[in-house]
Amino acid sequence: MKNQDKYSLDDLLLSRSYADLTTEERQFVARCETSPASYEQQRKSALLMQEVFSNEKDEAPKRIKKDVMAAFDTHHRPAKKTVLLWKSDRNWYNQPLFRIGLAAALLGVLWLVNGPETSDVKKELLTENAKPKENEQKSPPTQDDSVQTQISSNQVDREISADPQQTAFPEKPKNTMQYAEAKAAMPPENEIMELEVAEMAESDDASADAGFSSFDSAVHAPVYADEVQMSARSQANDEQLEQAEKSIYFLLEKRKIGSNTPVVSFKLSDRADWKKDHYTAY
Amino acid sequence: MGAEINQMYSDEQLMAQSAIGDRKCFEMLYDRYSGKIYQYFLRMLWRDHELAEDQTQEIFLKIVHKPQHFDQNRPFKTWIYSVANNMCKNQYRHREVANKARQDMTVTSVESASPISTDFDKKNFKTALDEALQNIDIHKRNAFILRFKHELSIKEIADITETAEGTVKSRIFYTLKELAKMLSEYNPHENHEKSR
Repeated sequence: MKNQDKYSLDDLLLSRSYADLTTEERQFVARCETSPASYEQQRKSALLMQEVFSNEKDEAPKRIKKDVMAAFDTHHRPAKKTVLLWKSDRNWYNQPLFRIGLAAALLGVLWLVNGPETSDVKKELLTENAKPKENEQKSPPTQDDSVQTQISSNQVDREISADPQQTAFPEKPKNTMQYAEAKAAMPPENEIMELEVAEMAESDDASADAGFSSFDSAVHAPVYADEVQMSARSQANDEQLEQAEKSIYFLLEKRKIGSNTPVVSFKLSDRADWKKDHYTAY
Repeated sequence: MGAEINQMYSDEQLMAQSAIGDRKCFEMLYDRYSGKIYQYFLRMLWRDHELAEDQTQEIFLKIVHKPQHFDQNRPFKTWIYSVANNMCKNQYRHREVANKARQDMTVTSVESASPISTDFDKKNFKTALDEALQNIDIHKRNAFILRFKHELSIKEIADITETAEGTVKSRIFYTLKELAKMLSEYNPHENHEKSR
């Protein structure tokens, strides 16, 4: 049994003739029920077979190589480019599609929880900060402005209370109640025009002092609208007109909001619209 | 230069590189084994060239598509032959009936084959050998081809066929005996001595 494990008949056949075998090997061959004559015959057949096999060319048809290499290229190259959202060899929780969805859902939840609040607060802060800057930018400090700001709130009070009809002048009413009140307080249309034209005429004056001191009298001065309009068109400088308007609004707003309020805001665009409407109506 | 590079890498290294898409390594691996595998299929599958081609292509496509199936604890040589062996078994199952019919036909042809001449003819011997091999039991034939044609060790054959080494030895022994008997009519003795 030991010898059987040790020797292999084909090894012996291919390596040595019966004459060259050792006693042990011959015993092994005998156990394999092989006579010396049949051993020789088998040996020659084995050698011949080995020769035939070794002379064979181990070549596979070229067609196979072409197909296999093409398959290799198609298998490996697109795999680097393609991003599969669902890969068959992964668990569902490891799928790219699932992860993208999860990330999107989390972002959505975060936005819903924090997004609107934050954005409101930011908006509020931005408007608060922007208001004074806007005022500064839109009304650069001129000599007129500086003079206007010097006017005390008492003086303003006096001026406005002297003619209560002027309170209806400046701002576009915000709601229906305010609008009704404002309308009731407003003077008739002709008077408004007179006031407007007088204002324009007032702004022609280069001196700020004169502009403000003559404001009261200009308002009450009887002027024919056509004449003044013509003269205003030819002489009025737009910039000065704007400044005059601003100063009025500034004072009115200040009165309205109260002297403790530091921020005074008004909309030029509103004022411009209002003015435009009235000019066209006229 | 190419041959040097080819020798530098073991089969296992080439296989590892192929798995990550290295084309050259895969090509080297293919060149090393395609011919041998093709010849193996040819002998094991009734010398059917088309079938051998298909099977060779299939085995390399398996390597391309499922390289993870390669057992890294085994030598590549043993692994690829065991895959080929399993593919042959599948073919035997599918063509059991056809195989029997084929066997009957070849037995007749071998038996009817009379000695062509007293002179040894290698070409005829080769044809007779191929025909005789078709009459041998597939397990014996497999062991014999792997041993004589592909020069694998008994241990490697045992690994491929998943049998004991002793079984492999006895299979080879009986195959040699049978073939020697079948091919004895060619009487290669004298001619072989001359050729040596």
